[in-house]
Amino acid sequence: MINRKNYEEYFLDFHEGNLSPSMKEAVRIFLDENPDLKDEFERFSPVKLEAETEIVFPSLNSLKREIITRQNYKTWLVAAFEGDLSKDESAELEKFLVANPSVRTEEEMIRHTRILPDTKIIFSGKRELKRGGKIISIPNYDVVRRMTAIAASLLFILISWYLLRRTTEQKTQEAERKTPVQQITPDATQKLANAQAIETKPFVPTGEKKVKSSVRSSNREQHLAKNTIQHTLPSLEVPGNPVVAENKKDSVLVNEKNNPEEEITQRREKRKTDLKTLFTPEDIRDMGLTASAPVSEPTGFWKTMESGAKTIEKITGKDLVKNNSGSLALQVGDFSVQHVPGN
Amino acid sequence: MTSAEYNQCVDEHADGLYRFILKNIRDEEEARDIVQDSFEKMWINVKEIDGSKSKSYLFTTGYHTMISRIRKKKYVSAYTEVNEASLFHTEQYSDLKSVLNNAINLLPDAQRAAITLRDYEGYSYKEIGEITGLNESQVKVYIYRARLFLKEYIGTMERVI
Repeated sequence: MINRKNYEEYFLDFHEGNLSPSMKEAVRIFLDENPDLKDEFERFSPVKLEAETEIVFPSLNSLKREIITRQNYKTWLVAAFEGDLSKDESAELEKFLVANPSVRTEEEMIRHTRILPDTKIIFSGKRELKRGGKIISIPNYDVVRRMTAIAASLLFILISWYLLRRTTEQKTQEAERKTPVQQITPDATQKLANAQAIETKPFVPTGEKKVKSSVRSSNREQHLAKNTIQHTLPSLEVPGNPVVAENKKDSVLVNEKNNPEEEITQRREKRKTDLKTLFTPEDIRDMGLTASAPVSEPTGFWKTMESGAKTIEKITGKDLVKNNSGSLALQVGDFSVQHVPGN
Repeated sequence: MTSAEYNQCVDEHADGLYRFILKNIRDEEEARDIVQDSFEKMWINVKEIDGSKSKSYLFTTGYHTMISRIRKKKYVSAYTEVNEASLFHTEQYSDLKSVLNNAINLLPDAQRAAITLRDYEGYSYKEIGEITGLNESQVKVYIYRARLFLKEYIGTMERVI
């Protein structure tokens, strides 16, 4: 309700027409009861400002987007070429072109700016790009690339290790082939000791190859043969061919070089003894004399024997003789190994 | 996207992508690499790609790969500004196509990419925006500027010839 505290709001609303008829009547009654406020009520009459119509915006047309001017017509030409104009805009442009025929040339030039692809240019690697088979979902490209790199690295390491190991083994085998066996098994020693016994009694061979052995030796020869056998025995690969044991005396004779080579050969022939009659294949293997494949190249076998013989020479300090005319033989004191071709 | 759709995409879009990249980078080996990379990436994500959007995916991948290489090799220093001096030269051209090809090479990279996508592949402003990462208005502006530059260039050449 209007009173002397809030009358100003009612006076303002009264003049702005915001009061209902009943409220307006209430304001009039309030003024009758408070005549001292009538002057103030009159001062609330609205003040209207008149617009200064003589003030105008200087470049009104520049704000009008739809208007084509000499400044913006090129953009309109491009827009028309790109198909960006509405029907009305196209009609507007057409009016402008009619009014400015020189612009037609520019319109034509804009049409020439369309770039056409050169269809002669083709990508020649399409076949390589194509994929086949089942699609495997790969979540992360980087992960796959890293895993591939790791797998490749592991494979490389594995191959390198294999090749290195193989090379090392080959070298080891080769070295073993060249190096004399330093130890001899007790069993083989026993067998070899038995061979020494041959010198004291005639050996009666068995089988097809019966070799008569006449034994003659001296103490010095026995000593030499014993030392030789105990210390060294060349590691020889003797293919499954007959291995012939000979009396040690020939070796001694050869070592001392007291007799001509022919005499040595003759004596050896007389006392040929087949090692098979003395040793089983296992024994031969135990002594480093392995029976395996037949010898196809006597030269290789001979070289092996020669290597062993040189080692024996080095240890015993005695010269050994090799006989490769018709047969291959290695003589060690009172013991020799011989390869007979054709067997 | 199936492997069949992928292979179909190779048949249908490898040439187009190659032309687009070649036109922009002007290096055949580089363009071949980019196309191969793009398809490689597409194949890796083949299961996630909607077959109907394969072309858009391909061009988007190709465009960004190209931009990355351009920036790495610094083919062009200014990316958006036309070299006005290039409008004045004394070269002779036998036909309009040669003139236009030369003019395209003078465009800033962004304008050239936008206008080639527009003319070669017929992409809309919105599609070009999606491929290039620009907004639609920028694409429109670049294409308009490129057209006007080409028009001015052709006009200059006609006067020279």
